[in-house]
Amino acid sequence: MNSRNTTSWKQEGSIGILQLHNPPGNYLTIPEFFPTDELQQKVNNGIKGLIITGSGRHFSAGADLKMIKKQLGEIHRFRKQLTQGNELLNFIETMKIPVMAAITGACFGGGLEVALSCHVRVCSKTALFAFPEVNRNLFPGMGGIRKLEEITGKATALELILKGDLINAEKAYELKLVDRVLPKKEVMNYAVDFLKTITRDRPLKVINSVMESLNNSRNMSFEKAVEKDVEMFCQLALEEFNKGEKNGET
Amino acid sequence: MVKRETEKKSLISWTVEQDIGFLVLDNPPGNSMTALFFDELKRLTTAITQSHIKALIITGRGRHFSSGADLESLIAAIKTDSTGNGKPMKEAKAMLLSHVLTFEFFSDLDIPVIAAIQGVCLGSALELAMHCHFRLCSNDALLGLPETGFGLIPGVGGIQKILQLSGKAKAIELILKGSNFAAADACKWHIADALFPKKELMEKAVQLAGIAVDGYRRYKKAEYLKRLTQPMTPA
Repeated sequence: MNSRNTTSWKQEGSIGILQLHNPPGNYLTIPEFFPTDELQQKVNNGIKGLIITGSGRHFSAGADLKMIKKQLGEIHRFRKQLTQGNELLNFIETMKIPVMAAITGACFGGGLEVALSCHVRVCSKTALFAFPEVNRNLFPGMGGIRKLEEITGKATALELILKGDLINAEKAYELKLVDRVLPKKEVMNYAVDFLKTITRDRPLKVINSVMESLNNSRNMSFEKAVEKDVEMFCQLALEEFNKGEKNGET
Repeated sequence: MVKRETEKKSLISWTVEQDIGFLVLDNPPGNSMTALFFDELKRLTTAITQSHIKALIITGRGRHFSSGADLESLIAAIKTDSTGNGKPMKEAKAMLLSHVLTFEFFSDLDIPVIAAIQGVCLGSALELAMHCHFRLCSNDALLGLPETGFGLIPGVGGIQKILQLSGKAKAIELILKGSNFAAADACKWHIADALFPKKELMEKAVQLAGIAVDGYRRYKKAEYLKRLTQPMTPA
């Protein structure tokens, strides 16, 4: 099965919605669940925000273990696929538009790694989270460990990954794993409204600069990131100034 | 152009009382941060270094902390850039980097630096406040980073600071929306530390200075704030 059968894409105005669509559990059949270059294409077409969500009751129950077992015969191929999955999640994490995970039901393993790659996470009151990999003597293989540690701190990350226990939405909020908990039927509308509200009046280059700056904090020192902010600020200011000149203002 | 200026009124007042330095943004009503203000702030860093104070309080004169940077000086710098033939945006970049260094002087101080925020605290003013170690707000304080509304972004470290304080989701929301938020919300989102009636704000700032001076950075920030906000027990 290829990724096209297990995801669907739609757009609401300038907000793209990528739906994991492999019901009922929305298992990720391959790690690169949506082609990275195709996602890049969508961005090039000018979307200002992205929502990742699951079709039906669940976000995603994670990787399909049966699939993994089958693939293990061809370890090189599997390794390549996993690398491509990692690249997709890193691509999502460093996107220069805000990316939001709208989570209902199960959000496990690889599914949780997808959610952690997003910039904002909103979930339903009945959502459940877990990294169950350890129960099969595995661990999150798509960069989820680092992302979890960044969000929750090392102690919580260790506990969640080594225990492999299920946690509910309330606990997830307490651990900063999600940013907002809402009644199930409000989750999707909230996500769309949130992204529309914050991007509506903003030119794409301003959105891109803000997101780039926030992403810089991950791989640069504070001072270096601020220096980049200054550069981006000047670029935007120059464009605004030139625009003002054209309109006869000074 | 005749190069003669009347003696300028100081835009920042600087006093020391009982080992506490008071840096007051003094250009009412808005205490706007002009190019001259930034020059003065930079010069004051030397005085602060030499002063042997044990704590520093930054606040605004009158009703407001500050309405932030005025765009005039920025536009002037960009004009110089676009008429000159130096590297693109050399002037404006150098100016902002100098502001960044001045703000970082305050966050790097090894004495407690407390922002006492009343009224509005917007844009670069909030960026300065976020470079302080503590932010105490009056109930009526109004904070915000409105830059994106002008097609810009916070340029003096504000994005990185608010990210550290409030986390990514809230930072994205507040920066892109650009709308003002109340002090109570700022506390909820960890951007401000505590909230007081306007009349008590300075008194509390001085009190916190006293508490934090005693073994500063020996405890977690929350410990100092707990001691500040706990009701006084009669002796």
